Amino acid sequence: MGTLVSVCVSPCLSGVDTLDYIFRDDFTTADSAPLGTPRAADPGPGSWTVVETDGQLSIASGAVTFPAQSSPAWGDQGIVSGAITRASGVVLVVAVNVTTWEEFGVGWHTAAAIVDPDSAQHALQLNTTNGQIDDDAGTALHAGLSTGAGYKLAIVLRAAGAHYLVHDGTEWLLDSITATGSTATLYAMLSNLDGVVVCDYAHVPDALWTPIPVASDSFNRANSSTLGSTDGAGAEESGGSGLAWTEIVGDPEIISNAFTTNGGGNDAATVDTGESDVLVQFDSDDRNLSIVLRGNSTSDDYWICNIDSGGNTQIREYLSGTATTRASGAPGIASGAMTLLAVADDDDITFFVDGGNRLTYGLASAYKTATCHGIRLGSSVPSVNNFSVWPRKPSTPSWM
Amino acid sequence: MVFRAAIVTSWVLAADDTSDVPSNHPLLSDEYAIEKWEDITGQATNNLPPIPNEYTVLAELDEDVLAAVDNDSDYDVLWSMEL
Repeated sequence: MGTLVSVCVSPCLSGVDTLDYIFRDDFTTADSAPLGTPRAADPGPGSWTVVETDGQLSIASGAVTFPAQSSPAWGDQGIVSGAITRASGVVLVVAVNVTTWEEFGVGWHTAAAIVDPDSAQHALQLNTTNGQIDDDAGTALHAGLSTGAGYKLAIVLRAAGAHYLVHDGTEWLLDSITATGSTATLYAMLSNLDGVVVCDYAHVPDALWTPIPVASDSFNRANSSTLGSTDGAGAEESGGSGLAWTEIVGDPEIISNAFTTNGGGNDAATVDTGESDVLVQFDSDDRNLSIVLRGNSTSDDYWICNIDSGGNTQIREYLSGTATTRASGAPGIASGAMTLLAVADDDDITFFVDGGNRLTYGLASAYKTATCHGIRLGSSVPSVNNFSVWPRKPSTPSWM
Repeated sequence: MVFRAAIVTSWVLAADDTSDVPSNHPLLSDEYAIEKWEDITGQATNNLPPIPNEYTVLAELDEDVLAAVDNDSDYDVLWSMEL
């Protein structure tokens, strides 16, 4: 992966608690514009290719400043590292303080070039809407941030895909998980269009870290009329095994290594994960099913994020089995395989289908401490694989 | 053009909903083609319908639909903005 440099992590004890880096720039040494290219990272290891076609970068007070371009065009301003080898758990962490909230992105690109973050393999990008951060598909992941405050952005590589996290000044929040994009050689890239952004550091530690699911099930087991317990293999990252499924509606079953049923559909089951603020994700072979959120396994009170048989989406609250639709969208998603993801965080529920088609509800105070999450099948009985539940606020290592 | 608007509507209760998946929902979504909407009142489910039977949704809808809703006395458009 490149030259490693060890530094001490406080408290620094002889021979222990050291952290190696694949790439590290703390922008410690002041330098006037333009920075020029190539430029050695400080203290390293690594070096940047610097592009200052429109707007010149400078370093002062331990940070590099990206100025707004005068004629904004992607590719005309940014910095990109040398090659870094993809491995599950390799993390790019970038600390920023935004002066002007316009388009600026951080991510993993497939070439040593500056591009629109939407063209990178994995990226987080400031949206033109103040305080909003999007992913590389242009889907809003995070809102409510502000200028003049310090934030950290992290993109954790998986063997295929990535975890997207934002530190909002208080805590790390897992915003999204993807399972596509597996280019072996990647480049850390900071690309600016028309934002004014101060970056305190860009790190790629040699230490590996990934979020761990609190529940995960591949459903790869013998056909059974009962669901049994989670096997911990529903995601690339192992974890969340041994949790018993509780059937709350109908009679879901294991058939052909999938969560489905032999009946007429409208079957649901949950597992108790012990966490209420979570991301729930699974793959389906078709529409007409729901993510179940915040149930309690003893009553018909819970939330669902649903995609119906017409490809439209709803966030619904169930009270004693009666549904109240709290939000609805009409994206008209085509039939076929898809990935559903729901994010539950305090009073907010956000629903994504295939990384987009975002639907939100911001007053979901009912059952917000309930910890059972799962799957509900519609009447057309799609089948589900790769179920996983992740903590919204994962425990992160000190170096993040 | 697509607009975002805050619109006061009444509830249709699940008991009166003849769709395949009955639910409490806004009358607005039955009568107009709304691309996306979100309840921004948050009336507790066990207190439906409220008296008077009205609440506010934040909707995204086409300009001509917004104009029609604005001219419909069943609804009040509190504000709107082009997206």
